[in-house]
Amino acid sequence: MSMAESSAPATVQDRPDPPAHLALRDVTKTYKSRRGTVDAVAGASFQIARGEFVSVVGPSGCGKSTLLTMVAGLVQASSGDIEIDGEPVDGAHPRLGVVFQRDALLEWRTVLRNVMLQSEVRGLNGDKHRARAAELLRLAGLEGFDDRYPYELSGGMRQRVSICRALLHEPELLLMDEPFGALDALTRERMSADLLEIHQSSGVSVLFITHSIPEAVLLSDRVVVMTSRPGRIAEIIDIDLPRPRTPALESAPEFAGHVAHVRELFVREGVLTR
Amino acid sequence: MTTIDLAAAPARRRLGMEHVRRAFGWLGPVLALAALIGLWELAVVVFDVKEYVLPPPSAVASEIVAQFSTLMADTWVTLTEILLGLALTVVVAIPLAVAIVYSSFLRNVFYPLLVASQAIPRVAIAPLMVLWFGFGILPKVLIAFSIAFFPLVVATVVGLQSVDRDTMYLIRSMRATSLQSFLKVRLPTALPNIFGGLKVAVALAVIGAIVGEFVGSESGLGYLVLQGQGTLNTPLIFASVTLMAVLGIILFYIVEIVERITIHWYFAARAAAQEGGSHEG
Repeated sequence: MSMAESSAPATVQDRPDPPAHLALRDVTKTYKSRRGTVDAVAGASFQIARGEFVSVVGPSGCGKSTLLTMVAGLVQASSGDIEIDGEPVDGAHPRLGVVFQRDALLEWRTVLRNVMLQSEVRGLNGDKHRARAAELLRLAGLEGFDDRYPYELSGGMRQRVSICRALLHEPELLLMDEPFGALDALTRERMSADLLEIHQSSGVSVLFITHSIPEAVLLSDRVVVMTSRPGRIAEIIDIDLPRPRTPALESAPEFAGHVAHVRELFVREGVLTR
Repeated sequence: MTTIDLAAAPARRRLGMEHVRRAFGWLGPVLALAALIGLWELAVVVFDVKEYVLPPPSAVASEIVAQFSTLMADTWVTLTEILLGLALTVVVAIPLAVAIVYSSFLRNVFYPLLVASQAIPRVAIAPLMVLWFGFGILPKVLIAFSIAFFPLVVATVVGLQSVDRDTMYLIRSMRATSLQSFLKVRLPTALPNIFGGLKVAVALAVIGAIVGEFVGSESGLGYLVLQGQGTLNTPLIFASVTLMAVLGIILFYIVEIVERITIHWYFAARAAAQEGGSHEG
């Protein structure tokens, strides 16, 4: 799905060093439970520059999804700063698109009306966004499915609809919480290729949560490696593979090198065995 | 015939059977009912049962025909009581459930009291209703309401709370107002539960109206039952009970039809899930 978008140009700043698109500094999240407190995220710091694709990879329960909900302004951080364009996050940022693992489509809405939910709720121009929704669906290979209901679609198609919905209002920052986690391997690969194209053509910044090391390496400019209990960042790895990328890259030796590096980190942390 | 046709044949046959089953699905129960009625008629004749003990179905039928205008007038009274009771139930129960879901005070303080109040047998307070509101239609409506409304409150509360976390996150990520997330997510999500509660409420409202008529009334199908009892007119009792059953069944199916139309997506999604999930293309 090649969703061409007019890339939003960054505002010209007088400062020599413009603020990062997204910045996290010492972000923690502590949950209180009956048996004391649980550290879901402990001191996470990293930045995403405009147009950058950053993945957070880690085992289940390492707090990577919590990190995403805090960036989305849905869950309050216990301490630390989260800033979008230099402004502290307070509730959902207007130029944000979110994709969840389970597509969160509304079963009572047709495909088109599911995508349109975004503009409807935000009170954006209906006609303009209806045309854009139809175009996004066409690019996603869902032409002719506008009036279908979600139950008529396969898992991959449903997730495509949910991605179209996240892109409808031309977000500048896309947050994706294990979006391909529930899909089979082949669908997953196709969706990865399509996501690479969306990122390439639209210039959107992406924060991508996954537990798949190859997926993180293939898609990202940088990979944030997290380990569990408490969820903290083990290392941030630059992926200097050239763009545009395709899934064919996975057979390249440099690719294997990055994957091995991340694996080694998880082995050292006791997440994986040698 | 090609191989493709052969391969497609079993599927087509299955589809045909499905068609037949759907078209004549009502035939089985109707035949069974006819057989039971026949058996009843036969038993009354064979064992020479007195009519005031157990009238044969034919006597009940002729009673319905003979007393048709009276029966219809009383059916109308009972139907009015049921419908008003149901209307009151819907108008009170659904907003109350919404309030319970949105207010932690109501949820923590009022809801437990409401649950505890269900321990009071409503039938027992029916005489009190008559004492307070007389022999007219009002006490029947209130008794029907008092029995029917609790299941609808509970069903609606459960439905409104059944929204999954991601969907709530999604609508909030769109900067939705509380009203928007209620109307666009919570209420539609709750509809299958609300319809479930409504079907229970219909059955209970019928019982409530009849109980109200038993306690004190001058008309209605419940009143006719008491009259039949007083005059040993057993066919009249059976005729009234038959009409009550018909009323209940019709009302239930009306709700079911509205449900099928309103939340067609729910049944379709459930059927699709049972078929063995989606296929990747």
